[in-house]
Amino acid sequence: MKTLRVLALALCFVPPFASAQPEAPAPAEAASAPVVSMSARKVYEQARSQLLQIRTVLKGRASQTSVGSGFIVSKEGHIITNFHVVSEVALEPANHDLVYVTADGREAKLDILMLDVLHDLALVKPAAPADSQAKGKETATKEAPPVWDALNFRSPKQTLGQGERMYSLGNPLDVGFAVIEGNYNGLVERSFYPQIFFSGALSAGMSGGPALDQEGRVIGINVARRVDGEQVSFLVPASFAAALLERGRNAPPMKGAAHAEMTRQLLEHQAVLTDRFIAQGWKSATHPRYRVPVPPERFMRCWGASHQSRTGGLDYEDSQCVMETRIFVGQYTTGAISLRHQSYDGSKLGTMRFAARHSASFRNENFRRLGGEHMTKPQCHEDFITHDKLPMRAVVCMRAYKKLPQLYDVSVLVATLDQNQGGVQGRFDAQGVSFGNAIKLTQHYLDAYGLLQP
Amino acid sequence: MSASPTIALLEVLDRDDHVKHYLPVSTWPVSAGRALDNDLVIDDDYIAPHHFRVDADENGVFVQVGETINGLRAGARHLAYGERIAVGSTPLRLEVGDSHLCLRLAHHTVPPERPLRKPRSFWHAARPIVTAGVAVVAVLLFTTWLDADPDDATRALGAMLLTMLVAASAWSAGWSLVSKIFTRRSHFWWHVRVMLIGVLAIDLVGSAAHLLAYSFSWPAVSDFTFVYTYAIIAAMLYFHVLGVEPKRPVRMQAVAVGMFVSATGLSLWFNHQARDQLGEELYMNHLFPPALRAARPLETDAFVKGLSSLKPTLDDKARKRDTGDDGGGDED
Repeated sequence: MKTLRVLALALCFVPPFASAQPEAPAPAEAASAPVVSMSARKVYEQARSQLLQIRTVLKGRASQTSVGSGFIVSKEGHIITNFHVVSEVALEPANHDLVYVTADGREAKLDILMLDVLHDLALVKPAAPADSQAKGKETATKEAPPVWDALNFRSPKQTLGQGERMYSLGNPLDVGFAVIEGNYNGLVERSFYPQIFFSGALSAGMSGGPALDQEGRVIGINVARRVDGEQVSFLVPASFAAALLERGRNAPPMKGAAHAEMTRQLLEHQAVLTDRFIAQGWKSATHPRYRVPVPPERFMRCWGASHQSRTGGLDYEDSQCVMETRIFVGQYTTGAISLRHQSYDGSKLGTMRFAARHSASFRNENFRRLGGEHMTKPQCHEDFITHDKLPMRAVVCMRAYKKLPQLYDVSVLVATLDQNQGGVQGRFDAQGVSFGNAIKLTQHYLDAYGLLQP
Repeated sequence: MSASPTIALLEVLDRDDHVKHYLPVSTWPVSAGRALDNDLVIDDDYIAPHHFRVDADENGVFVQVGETINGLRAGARHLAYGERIAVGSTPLRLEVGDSHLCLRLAHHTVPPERPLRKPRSFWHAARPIVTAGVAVVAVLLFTTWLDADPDDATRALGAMLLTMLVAASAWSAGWSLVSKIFTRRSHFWWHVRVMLIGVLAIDLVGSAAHLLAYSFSWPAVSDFTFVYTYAIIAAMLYFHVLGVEPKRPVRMQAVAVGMFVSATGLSLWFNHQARDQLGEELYMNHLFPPALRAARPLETDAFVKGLSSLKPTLDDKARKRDTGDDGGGDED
């Protein structure tokens, strides 16, 4: 297919801030501090002691590889942050250490207790001091454990109104702790997992920081922003963090790389995703001649465009549907489904020239997504198929994840072959699905094609 | 008139095997070497003063090698100091030092006169070239037409014709120059013909492979198009070289086969590295008009069942990470 104009999505995880950026010279106005409302100051002062910077440092070296934010949620010192803030430590514990830094500069090591990869959350806790471990249990139990000042979650029963003020806290770009004012704008539409739409300016380094209401209760956790918009930011609803705290409160520190745990959660995700995707069915009337699979826009967003050739060539329309929820798993994302198709009108070209265009478009497809360290090369299966009297050429290419066993990417490419001067080419992609679900989704997709009965 | 008839001729040849000068022999023996007392004086640094002599006994005429460190090559045999070889029923070629000689005896049969390559008519000579040329132009114009949008076609066709003319002339002229250097004749039309037929064959074989692969759903046929192309290119080069060095066809055939085998081997290896498969196509990607499809389509569930065969391969390759063999990480 012709390369689609990518309209969709410049969604960006607020990345754990990873390298020194050149500082932009501050404009003169910036010197006079912007007017912060009394409540912002009050909120920050209240939350200051519960707010942390979470640093990933190279083991045995002082240098940090990335920084994010976090906050204390229990008297025992449990801390909530984003999974993507701690992912280097979780996935490569041999090379990295996790430490926190408080607003007044204290610093200590952290252990990861539990991960919620699907909602991009992690539960961490200050590591038991090494000397008390060395002295043995007796001494450790005698010492009174420190009591931490914790932030409270806002109860999900207390609904928020659109436009309500809220305050996002964190340490943007490792510059220093900051409070950002913004507004609550409800949940993000067509998101696979619920996310809060926060209109405030999140920056790299604030990931994992809390977003608080005027009383200082946690509404959500800073997670992502759109880089193609202004102040379009996203928060993980606090209820997922509260649930993670309940599940992991007494969990022992995680040992070794977290790939197995990540895989387990991804398997759960793909099962739910496949069921929801198949259950929602297809849109009707997507093409005048064929049935062409286009999903309803429940958790996907579709864009289309029409292209008229200026040189008397091929006219075509394209449609692309993508999921904006993707699961971050370290160096890449997975767990999303996307579809696109192009509908060709070659009546100005004639049969032979149209066949050449159809063929070139069919050839112009890429079945690789990640490098050889993450995925195998594609293995493909192809043949002529027919469904509802529509003959097609179908190619299914699959790749296996190397560190996420029993998870696969599947890509299905279809070209209709019933007309001399027109046709449709469609492509379906599902990332991070089990082999069984890959087959199920392929069947579901192929069976959605057909010739409309006159 | 001289009383004694010529019983043999000892010829000295130039590098095109034309006779530079010769010694008519009326009595045996005759001697050859650098010393001035020889019957044939050859002033060549690699030749001894008395390098060899030709004599006759009751068994016939023979060549006797004199006091030399290099010896000489007679026909396919190398002879050292003191050895001799009988002259058979055909002229004997001798390589002595840097010089090429030929010994002809009176009883050797003279091969019939070879006709000069004079065409019977201009059209007779030009027909194969014109036919091939017209076919190549037609094929290239068709493919250009196929790929150009209607409003762009004229310009594209003009540009293609010009490019083709320049490229074809440069190619043929290059080979002609090489021919001229080595054989004193340019063989221009020979090279033009080889090139035209080669280009035509590459195009037609490629298209036929694509059509077969589509029609019968035989992906393997188009997957290895590069093998057919290499074979045709090797044959083309062989025939071009034949216009440069016509005397060693067997050796040139071996070189052509060697080139074909090594190019194919390298491509197969490269494909395997890049794609884990020997062919060049991940999937059959040649679509033709619907009427040209001969293979019967499968029902979707029968097709989807076939996917299961991918699992063992994928799982096997995914596990290979542990052994450190992940075949390189080429990301797009």
